[in-house]
Amino acid sequence: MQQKSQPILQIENQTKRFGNVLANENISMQVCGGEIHCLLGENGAGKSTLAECLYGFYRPDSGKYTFKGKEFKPRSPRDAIDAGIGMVHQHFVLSPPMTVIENIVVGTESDGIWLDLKSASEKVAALCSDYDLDLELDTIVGQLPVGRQQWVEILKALYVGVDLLILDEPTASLTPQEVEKLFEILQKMKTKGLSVILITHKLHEVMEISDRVTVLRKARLVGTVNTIDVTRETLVNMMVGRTVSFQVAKKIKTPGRAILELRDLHVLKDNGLDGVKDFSLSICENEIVGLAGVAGNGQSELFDAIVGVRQLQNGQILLSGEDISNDSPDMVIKKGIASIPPDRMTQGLLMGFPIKENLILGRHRVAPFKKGIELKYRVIEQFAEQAIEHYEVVATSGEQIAKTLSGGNLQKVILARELSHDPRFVVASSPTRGLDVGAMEYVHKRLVELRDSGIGILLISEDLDEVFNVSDRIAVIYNGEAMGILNREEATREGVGLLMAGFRGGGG
Amino acid sequence: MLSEFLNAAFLVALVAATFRMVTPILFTAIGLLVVNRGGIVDLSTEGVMLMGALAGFTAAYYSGSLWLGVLVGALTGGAISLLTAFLVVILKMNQSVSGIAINMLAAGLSFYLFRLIYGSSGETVPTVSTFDPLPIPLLSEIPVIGKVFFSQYALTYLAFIMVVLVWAFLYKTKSGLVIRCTGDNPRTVDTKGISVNLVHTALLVFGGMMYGIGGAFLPLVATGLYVPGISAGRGWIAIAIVIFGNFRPFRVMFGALLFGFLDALQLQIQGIGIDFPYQLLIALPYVLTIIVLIIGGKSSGKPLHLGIPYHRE
Amino acid sequence: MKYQFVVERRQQVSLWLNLLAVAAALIVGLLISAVLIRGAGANVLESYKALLEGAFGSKEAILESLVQATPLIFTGLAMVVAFRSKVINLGVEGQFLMGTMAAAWISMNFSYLPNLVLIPLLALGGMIAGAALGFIPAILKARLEVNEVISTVLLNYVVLYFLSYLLSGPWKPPYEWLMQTIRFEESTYWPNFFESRLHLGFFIGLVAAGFLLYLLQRTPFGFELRSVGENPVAARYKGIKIERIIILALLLSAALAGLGGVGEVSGLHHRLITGISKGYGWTGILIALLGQLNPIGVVLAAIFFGGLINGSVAMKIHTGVPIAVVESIQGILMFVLLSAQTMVHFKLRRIEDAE
Repeated sequence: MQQKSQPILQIENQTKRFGNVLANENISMQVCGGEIHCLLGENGAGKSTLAECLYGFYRPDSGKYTFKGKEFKPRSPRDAIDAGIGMVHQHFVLSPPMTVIENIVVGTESDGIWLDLKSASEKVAALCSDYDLDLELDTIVGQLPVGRQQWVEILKALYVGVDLLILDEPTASLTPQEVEKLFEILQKMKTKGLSVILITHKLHEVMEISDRVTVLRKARLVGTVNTIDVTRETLVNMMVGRTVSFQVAKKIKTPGRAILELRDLHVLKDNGLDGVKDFSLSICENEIVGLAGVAGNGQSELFDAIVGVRQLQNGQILLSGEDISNDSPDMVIKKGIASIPPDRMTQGLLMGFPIKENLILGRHRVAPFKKGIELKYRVIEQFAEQAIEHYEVVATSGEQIAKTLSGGNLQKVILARELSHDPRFVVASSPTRGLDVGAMEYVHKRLVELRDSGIGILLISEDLDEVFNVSDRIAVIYNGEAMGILNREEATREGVGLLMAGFRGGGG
Repeated sequence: MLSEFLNAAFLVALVAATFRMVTPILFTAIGLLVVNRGGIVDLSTEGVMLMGALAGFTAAYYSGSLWLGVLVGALTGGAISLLTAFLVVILKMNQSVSGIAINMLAAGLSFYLFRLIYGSSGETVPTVSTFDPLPIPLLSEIPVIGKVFFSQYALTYLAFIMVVLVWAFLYKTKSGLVIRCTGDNPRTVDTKGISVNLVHTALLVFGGMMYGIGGAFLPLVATGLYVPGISAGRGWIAIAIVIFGNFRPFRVMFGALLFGFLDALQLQIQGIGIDFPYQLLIALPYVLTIIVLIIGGKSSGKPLHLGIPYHRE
Repeated sequence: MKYQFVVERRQQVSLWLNLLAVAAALIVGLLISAVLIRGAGANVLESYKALLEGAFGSKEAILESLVQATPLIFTGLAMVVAFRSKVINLGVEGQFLMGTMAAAWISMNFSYLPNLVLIPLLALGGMIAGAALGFIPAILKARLEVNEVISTVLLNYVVLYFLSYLLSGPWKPPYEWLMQTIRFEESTYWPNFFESRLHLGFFIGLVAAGFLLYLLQRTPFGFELRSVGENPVAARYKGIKIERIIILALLLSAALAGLGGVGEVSGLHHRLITGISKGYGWTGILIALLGQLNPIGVVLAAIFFGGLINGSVAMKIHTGVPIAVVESIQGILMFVLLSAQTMVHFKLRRIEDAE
């Protein structure tokens, strides 16, 4: 592991700012030939920016790269590709209606003007067998599961030939088994002499796969260490700057009566295919049920059905025994269901509106915000002031436009809106996605407080750590179906991972 | 009266007129198709057609060369689309609003320049002698079919050739793949180091040239004279046809033919002198275009990133 | 040390910066328009002087400019409703014409009613007629997802040809040369003010602007309308019925346009003539943008533009620049304004060059 080979890449004093935000400040690091190098840091620490600059996507404000012994100044991704640097982006960069091979070939340099998919297919097929990837090249990419789509991304890089591959949060939406497969691929690359930069915020991944790890915190370099020399605790300390338990303090509570019951739900996706099938689950007072699953297995359709924006084809939703199936979203809100949507910017907020108006969205037709035919802006402003204080939103006033807030503060605005009106039930989908550890802890603390006060919560999340940390019971969704439900105490990561991949009989 | 409709001469004239009426719309629609496939909504077609018509007509009027008129029409269209590119590509503005702005700019300029160049109405109306049909040797001598399909204008043949060329370009070349991917997810090409801005600008200029030719066809082939507002909504109809055609070249061609047929039909009915208000006949194709939009409203082939400005961050 | 500049997006653009953009756009727009005036062989300064005097040089000129501004207030407000709810209503032109037709129909058939009954009846009729036309694209968009941009534009042509049909036969008195109706009875007139052509329509326009401002900024419906325009997805998740809002927004927009049409018939021409709308629907787009999508701004922008239209007549007389120059200036202003308003969202930042 410690083959101290020559550094293939050297980054010296990189600085990059976006507007007033400093994303990288004076960062230096080295990557050796044939090593797997983790870049560790919280969300917003500046890892992706560092990588995007190296890939020529952004231009750093200052700094110097040396790649393969020569100075390297990428002006565009083309330069990076030509030099032998490839990148798998956090959000896949694929064209869903096109085939696998089309996605791999697009924009690559070759002679002639005509598209030659045949010879490209042969080359890709060879790569596939090299890396033991079982992939039909004529499949439409949009129909592939997420894990396979990632293979396409990796093949895109391998197809043009790389010496250094950067992967940005590649495991974010994979099952544990898919992660294993990915790590096998990375190990194979390593044996072929390729270098890998793996960007992550998950410690167990760092410990499992990396040779060395560079830690960033708040746009600054904390340091580079050999993985065998450190423990998880040291890394957490480097990453967050303090010790973090990650365990949320919960009171021991016995679940009360069932508050929300989902019975044999059948919901369609936008394209008319089944989104959720025969899905049953009930959530009790005083409990958080975590719903684990890989993205795209029906979670968003389920969320939509509960909050009333998606029709039920079949089945029933009961709130404290009252049938609320196919109630309109405003009725659902009135009856006391609060919701934290998975995509806060598009589903949750009016980004161009002031905080105060975001705080009453959905309640703008009820007292005290409305009186007669008018909105009572005095009351709204008072409410906004209180909410900002109570939910620790960092903002100058309720007049501030939402889009000027950070992700964590946006989420606090949503929490303030949703939780201020005594909800009976809360459905939260990926409530901590993209947040830093501080904001994440805050959200979890609030959810647990609610649970302790007697409210039932359904926590839909792709993040297994989150599900395991917060839930009282864990359910799994795969391909729109409920795969089973386990008590937190009897659940294991491996078992839940198997259920997430569609193997029943996993779990305990 | 029914016999008049079924009369062979009527039908031949009808189909031949269909091909003539379809030409300007087909040019515009096929140009717009390429722009749309690259992910850009362009509502400037109507105004650009007007400017193409005015510029083409003026060039032909003063030079005496109809082909120079076509060329100038194309170049004018391309030049105006550079302004669209400025708003859409450089400033990343809302594409619908930009299109409307360019549409108003081009339409307004065409009104003013027409008055400036040709004076106000009342004086003699300037005309050019229009293109002659270009019968294709041998083929045009086939009975009926020859007259219908192979005795058309050169620009009409060109419009249909463009459909095939655009299809081949989009689906059989590397650049075509780049454009299709840009329309679905611009990042796919950006991360390969291809400038999305450059792709978009090129597409807009190509589109503008096609709208320009479509506009120039009107005075140079159809009427022989320029009247303000000559395109009469054809630019808008082309937009509807691309949606109806599900963003596929041959389906777009089919949609354009359908509209051309309706347009030709109302002309022919006017021609045989049925006692029906002609204004209502003219309005018919617009109503039918709306109906066509209802049928083809939910197009599955719509590029996923259509109309969304592309930002890196 | 070498420097380079990078362009960055501002997160928030202040009102002042926006007004600065409008002012800059007006100046640049008039500078570019000077080229057109020069192209017509006229002296630019003299032309602009004639334009300004013709527009606001005397009490009569100002009143006439307000007359010209009147239809633009309505079409501008109609576009504000549309833009605020992101329902792109390009059919304002047709809806305006529907208003004129309704006014003409009522005037021809109910002239026996007293003036005090007819004044509101005409207004109501015009709004209903405009809204009726707006309902078609509204329902098509809300229920069948038909793109409203195209359907509204195409309906303009249908209405235009229908109007042309009415004025060439059914509504044209046999002795009449021009394509126009008879002159209506005085009982159908909207009152005039200040011994000028300025009529009730202008004041209704002011009231409509105030009403719209209140509606948008102070009522739940206005909040919902703006929310749908800002982010329909979030609006739907928070219980707003977006189909309903889309339909109501289009109806409101179209009704305002129709009301504007009534003003031109009942307040000004007292008959229905061909070309009664000089592209007011399209100019309304510019008015709305120039007025920052704010009803008060719309009134100001409409008066500015009314002055431009009115002044262009004086300019034509004094320096011979074709009146069609207004249409060009309109297009140029639109282009420059949009550019300026977008550009203020960016700023330049100086960075040290990496070298």
